[in-house]
Amino acid sequence: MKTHTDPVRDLAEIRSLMERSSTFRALSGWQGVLAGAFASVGAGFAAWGLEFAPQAWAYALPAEAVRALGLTALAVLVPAAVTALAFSRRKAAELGEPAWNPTTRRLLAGMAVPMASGGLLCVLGAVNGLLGLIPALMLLFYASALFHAARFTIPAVRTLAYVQTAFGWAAALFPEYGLLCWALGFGAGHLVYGITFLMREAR
Amino acid sequence: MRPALDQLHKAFESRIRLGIMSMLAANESVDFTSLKLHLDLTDGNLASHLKALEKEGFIQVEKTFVGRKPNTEYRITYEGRSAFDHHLQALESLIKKHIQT
Repeated sequence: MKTHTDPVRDLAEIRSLMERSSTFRALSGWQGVLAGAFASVGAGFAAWGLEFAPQAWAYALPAEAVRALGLTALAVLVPAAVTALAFSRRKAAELGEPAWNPTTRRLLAGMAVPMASGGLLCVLGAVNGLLGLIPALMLLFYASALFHAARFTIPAVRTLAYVQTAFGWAAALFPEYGLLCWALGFGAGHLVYGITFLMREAR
Repeated sequence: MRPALDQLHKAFESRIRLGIMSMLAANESVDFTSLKLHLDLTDGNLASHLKALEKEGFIQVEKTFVGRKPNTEYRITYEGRSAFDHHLQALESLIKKHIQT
């Protein structure tokens, strides 16, 4: 029987298999660009259309305005999530991988918990007159979800998580700039992430 | 035979088995389809290698149902991980020796 004669090749192969099998690679820069664009439009609408301008955490608006803000948030979140999933599916097909594999499952299952907690806390905050805290809550909980996701995917996601954390704390400490921080985190943050991703891929 | 080669576990002589162990070492658990996909094997070929590793006590099999579809997940056992680590060390020491001579 033939024995191993090339340990260098063996180790390289082991390493590549370990990496490939444990990393979620079905990502595209367009996910960031689109999420950033939706978020920027949403933030603009909240600021100028709905005149959302808290000065402190405690900030209440008439029920109608709160509903409009909630719908705006959904109008950003749903298209961003749907396009993200669609681009991941397409990328998975390009890579010849099934879209719904164990890595995807782990990634999404882990992200779902902080996202759901954050979403519920935002609703409770809105009901209890703490609208000024919501931008910070959204950024910080989203960042937690990203930190989890970063364990299973490309390192750029971790950088994005740090950026969202920084803007999240800025929004919490300076609620009068909460919406601006939200726009910078969700809007500009995602745009920069998406564009760098696309540029790197083009090279 | 050179001593370092003795340290290389027999079960890992096959590239495919080494590949399976690499994937199981990097993930909590891996299903049959993912193994097949990453290692580019046929069902029968993969199954026979998995059987051999299971017999060795290196991997653990879990059969469940996802809806009505059967799903088989594989995990590395404690023995499997230590044998795998040992094998990696042996490979590294082989490389070091090669550099020295």
